[in-house]
Amino acid sequence: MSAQASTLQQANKQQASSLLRKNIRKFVNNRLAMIGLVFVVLIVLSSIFAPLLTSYDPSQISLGEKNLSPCAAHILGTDNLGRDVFSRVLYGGRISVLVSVLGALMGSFVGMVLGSIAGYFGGKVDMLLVRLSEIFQTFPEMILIMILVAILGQGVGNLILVFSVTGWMTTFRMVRNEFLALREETYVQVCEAFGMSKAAIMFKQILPNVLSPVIVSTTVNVAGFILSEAGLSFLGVGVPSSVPTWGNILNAAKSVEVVSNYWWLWAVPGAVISIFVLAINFFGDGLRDVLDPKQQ
Amino acid sequence: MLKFIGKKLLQMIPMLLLISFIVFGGLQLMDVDPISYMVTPDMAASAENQEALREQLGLNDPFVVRYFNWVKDLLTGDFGYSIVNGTSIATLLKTRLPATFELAVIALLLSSVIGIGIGIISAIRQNGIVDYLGRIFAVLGQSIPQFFFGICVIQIFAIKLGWLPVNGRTSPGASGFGDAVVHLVLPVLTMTVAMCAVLMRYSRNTMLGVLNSDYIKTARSKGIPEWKVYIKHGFRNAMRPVLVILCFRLPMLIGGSVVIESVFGWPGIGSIITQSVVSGDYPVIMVTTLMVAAAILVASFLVDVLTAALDPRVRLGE
Amino acid sequence: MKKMSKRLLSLVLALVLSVMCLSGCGGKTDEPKTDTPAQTDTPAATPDANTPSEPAPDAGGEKVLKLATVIEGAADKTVYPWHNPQGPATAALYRSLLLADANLTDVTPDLATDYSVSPDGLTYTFTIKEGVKWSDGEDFTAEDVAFSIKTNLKVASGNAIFTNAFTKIEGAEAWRDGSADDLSGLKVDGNVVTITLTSSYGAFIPVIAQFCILPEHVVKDYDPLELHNSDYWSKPVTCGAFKLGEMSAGNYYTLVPNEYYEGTPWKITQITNYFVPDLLVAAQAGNNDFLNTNVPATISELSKLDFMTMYPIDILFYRYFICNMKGVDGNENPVMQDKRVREAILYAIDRETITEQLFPDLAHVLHSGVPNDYPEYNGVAYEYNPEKAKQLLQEAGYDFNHTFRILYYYSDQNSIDLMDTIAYYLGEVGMKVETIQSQQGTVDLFQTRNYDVGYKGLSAFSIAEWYGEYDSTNANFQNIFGGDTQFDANSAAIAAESDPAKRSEILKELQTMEQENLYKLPLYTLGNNIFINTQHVKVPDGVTFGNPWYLYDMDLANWEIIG
Repeated sequence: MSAQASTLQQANKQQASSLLRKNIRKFVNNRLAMIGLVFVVLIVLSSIFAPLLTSYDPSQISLGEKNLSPCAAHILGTDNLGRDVFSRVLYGGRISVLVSVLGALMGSFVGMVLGSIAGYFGGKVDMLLVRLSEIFQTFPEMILIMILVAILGQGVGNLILVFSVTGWMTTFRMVRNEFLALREETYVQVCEAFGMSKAAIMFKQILPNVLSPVIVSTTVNVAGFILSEAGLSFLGVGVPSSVPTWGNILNAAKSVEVVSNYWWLWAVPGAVISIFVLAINFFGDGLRDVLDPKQQ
Repeated sequence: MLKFIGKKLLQMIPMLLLISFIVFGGLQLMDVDPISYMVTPDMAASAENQEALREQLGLNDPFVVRYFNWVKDLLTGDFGYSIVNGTSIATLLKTRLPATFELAVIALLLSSVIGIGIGIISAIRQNGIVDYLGRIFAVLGQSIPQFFFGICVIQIFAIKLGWLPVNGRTSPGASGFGDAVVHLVLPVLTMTVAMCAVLMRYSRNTMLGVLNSDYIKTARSKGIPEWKVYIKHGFRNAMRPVLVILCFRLPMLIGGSVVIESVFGWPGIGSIITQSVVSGDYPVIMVTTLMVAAAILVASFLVDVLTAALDPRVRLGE
Repeated sequence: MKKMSKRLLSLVLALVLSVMCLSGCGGKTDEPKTDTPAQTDTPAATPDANTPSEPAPDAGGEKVLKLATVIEGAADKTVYPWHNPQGPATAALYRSLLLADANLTDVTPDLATDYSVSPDGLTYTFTIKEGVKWSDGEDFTAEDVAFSIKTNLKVASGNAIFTNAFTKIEGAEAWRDGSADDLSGLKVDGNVVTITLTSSYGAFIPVIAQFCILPEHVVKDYDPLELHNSDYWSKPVTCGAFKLGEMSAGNYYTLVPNEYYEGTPWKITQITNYFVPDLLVAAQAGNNDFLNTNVPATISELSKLDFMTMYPIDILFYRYFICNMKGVDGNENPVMQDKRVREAILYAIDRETITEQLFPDLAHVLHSGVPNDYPEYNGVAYEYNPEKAKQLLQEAGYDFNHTFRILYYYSDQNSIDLMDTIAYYLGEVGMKVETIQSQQGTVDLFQTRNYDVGYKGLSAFSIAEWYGEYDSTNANFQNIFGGDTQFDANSAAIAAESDPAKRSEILKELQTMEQENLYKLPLYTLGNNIFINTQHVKVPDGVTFGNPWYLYDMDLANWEIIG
């Protein structure tokens, strides 16, 4: 019995690894997706290693050097308090990326766990969880975020929490539906017959099969949260304005004076936000093409 | 069918009550006092009078008492008053809803036509010029923060070029269609660009999926003309998920877009929601969120109906 | 299925049609618009035919003064004159018993033909002008005056200058808390109003000149507590030269001449007030003929507009930190108790550079409530000295691991920048600083009190207002200054005194006392600039501009609309 199972697993593994290789090749050949990946990695790495790339402290104020256009000393210029824009954007990326990636990951995690439970057990548990997700979905996302921010208070940690609370429903639905279909499959029944624990079946056997759409929807969420963070800064309910984030930097540059005179103050954070969101979207699209079995 | 609809609608009532209770409870945790928001430190005339006002508005009552008072008023058709603003919420809705509706309907229509249109064409002519440009447009539209796009178009079209008004919905003395249209252009443009992108991607993807499917291949092999394949088989099947997306956009007709209305000073519901959340104006938050919640419930119900209507395999009521 | 596709088809058709409609009508925007001020934004802009598309400017030959206010809430109300009675719109709608000049202290008769003050400064008598009518045709009477004062004592939201002055009227407390049916110190006899104060109040006449009278026959139906929010302001009855024309909630309102106005009609024949998200953008679009600002970025942009002319104004607008010391409940904030800590903060911040860089030509550093150019200023100065600040902090045994909390309630970008700057300077002397933006200043500053210093603004009507904040009975400040009574005698004296020489003496004493305690850390005073679209409006000669938050004689009747 167990020998049979292990050969089955091995066969699975082999198949999986060749599929993986095929997928990687496919992904690498997808030019847009690769460009996306490169940009995402580039931006994330330069945020992480910001201290190596710039010697300026992002909150170092130097009132004598305000609103300098890009020059040798400040490659992307300075803002109206004489702070180095390049350094601010780098350090701002830390917070913005952290908030959106962690928010999306946590949201996906919650959605995955709840979706697995709902889909696998079905019945009352399922109904309860579906209702819960429906209630969450009846709030317009921006309003829900704003109310939660008002309750929890403004802050980086709180925003991550808010994003994960508001971002789990899509994943939940997807995982649940897949589970409903997959739990009837023969291999699940075989596993059950082998006496595997429910948790092991759910998370080790079924879940890997539904991971690909989850990964794609997570990338979509990351992009969305980056934009939400900027929107919340505009409405004055995002990360406290003293913390440099992409949203706060861009929001600080929304005045007419800045827009018409100091292009680097809005163009730089604006471009970085757009490039990052674009890159994530390209990357996600590429992943979808690779992972979607219908397009194999 | 009617029975199904009736049942669904009845189910919404307890759902809405539950939501209202949750929101009401959540607002208690918000710790924003509308009175002190309203009366800024510069204008705090007399502390006693403010306390009297707080008492008079029932803000000192326990949570449950306030909740039931609120439900009671609502059931008798009394939406209440904005605490911070003093305006009757019924009046607020009466003046604000049409504005939001106008903006959202036009943006919805435009983005559907453009988004779905380009999406389908780019699927049919995959990797063609429309596909290429369309996809660039889509990703760009999706990756620029809305408020920033809005500020930029105001600066360009309203200030630098002076073609269009900077904000608002109407101008004094002017009336009629032309006036309404010039005020609509910029907010509609901003809203459409963002919405188009999603619809385009979506309709392109589903159309591609449909075109690759077996029944299309069968249809082609039967020698049915290409255009007929697209219209009869492709388009109809690709419409389903797109319609679903559209339905989920419907609540915007009532909730408006929080960000866009703020940027353009559009006198709609969205900007009111922002202000009331910031100021802890709970009667306004309650009524508006409930309306939007109801709209979302109706929309998801419409999705069910539409899915059933477009796909005979799905039956209602199951 | 067939039905469905038909429906879909019709949907698509409808969509196409609406798109065609829209694109067709978009062309209408190019219609030539005349009468608009030429758009001379930047040299790069095309100032030719592309004037801002204001629909129907100066419609029907009306001489329209264009104003703008920022959208708040439903934006369905005209001005509430008991906050700050400011700007041409308030002056067009409402009147006071007296009309102040630009310095706000000298007055001329308006709704009162005459007034007198008893030698002890306790009794004021006003004779009311006859023949004045409200915009609904009712007579204006002395009862309206009495009603307005009594109502003002019961409002929840209003400018403290009125509350402070009217609380001095005999029986004010009893009237406010409802234990008396009438305000005993206020008597009406025919067209004479007599007001008796419990103690003398130096600024009473200037305050009366700011106090707009409301019509009793209409306002009596409103609850005073909610008056500021009531729909009266959406349909006000006025006695000024104008009355409300049209109210388009969220968009604009217009004011049209009041046919019952007994004075000379204004040369302006209509005032349009737009509700806008951004006053600067409205001005750029030529929709804001008169605005004031103290935001440097806005000033520099407005200065670029050829058609806007700037009028700088010097006013007593204080910006300062208040220290969270101790509540009347005895609840102390240990961090701020040592005076050396409070002093160190002043030394640690380079206020000179901040004012020069962030508020060029606008702000002046302060070392006490007395501006540096006043003769009473005693010369004590807290010059930027980070070393001294560090030393003071160390001497005081300041805990450098403590996160020093600065609370502020302004939400504009300039204030955020300022807070970042101050946090930076304090960081330079080794303090850990957190800045917190509050949505509800009053509660957070005076009740929640979870902060060390709070950033506050005070647009002072007179210098006495600044020192009134130290008063142990001040409803708000007793919660953070612990009800310290040492200022009481002098702060009461400066409020009561109208003799300049004696005021000067008291002021000097207060200043020393203030510097000995440093409960408030003065940062700077902020000037203001008025901008007028002089290509559209001609301001008559001889007009002096004053504090933009108050009413004064701007000779508005003779303003002309040109171009």
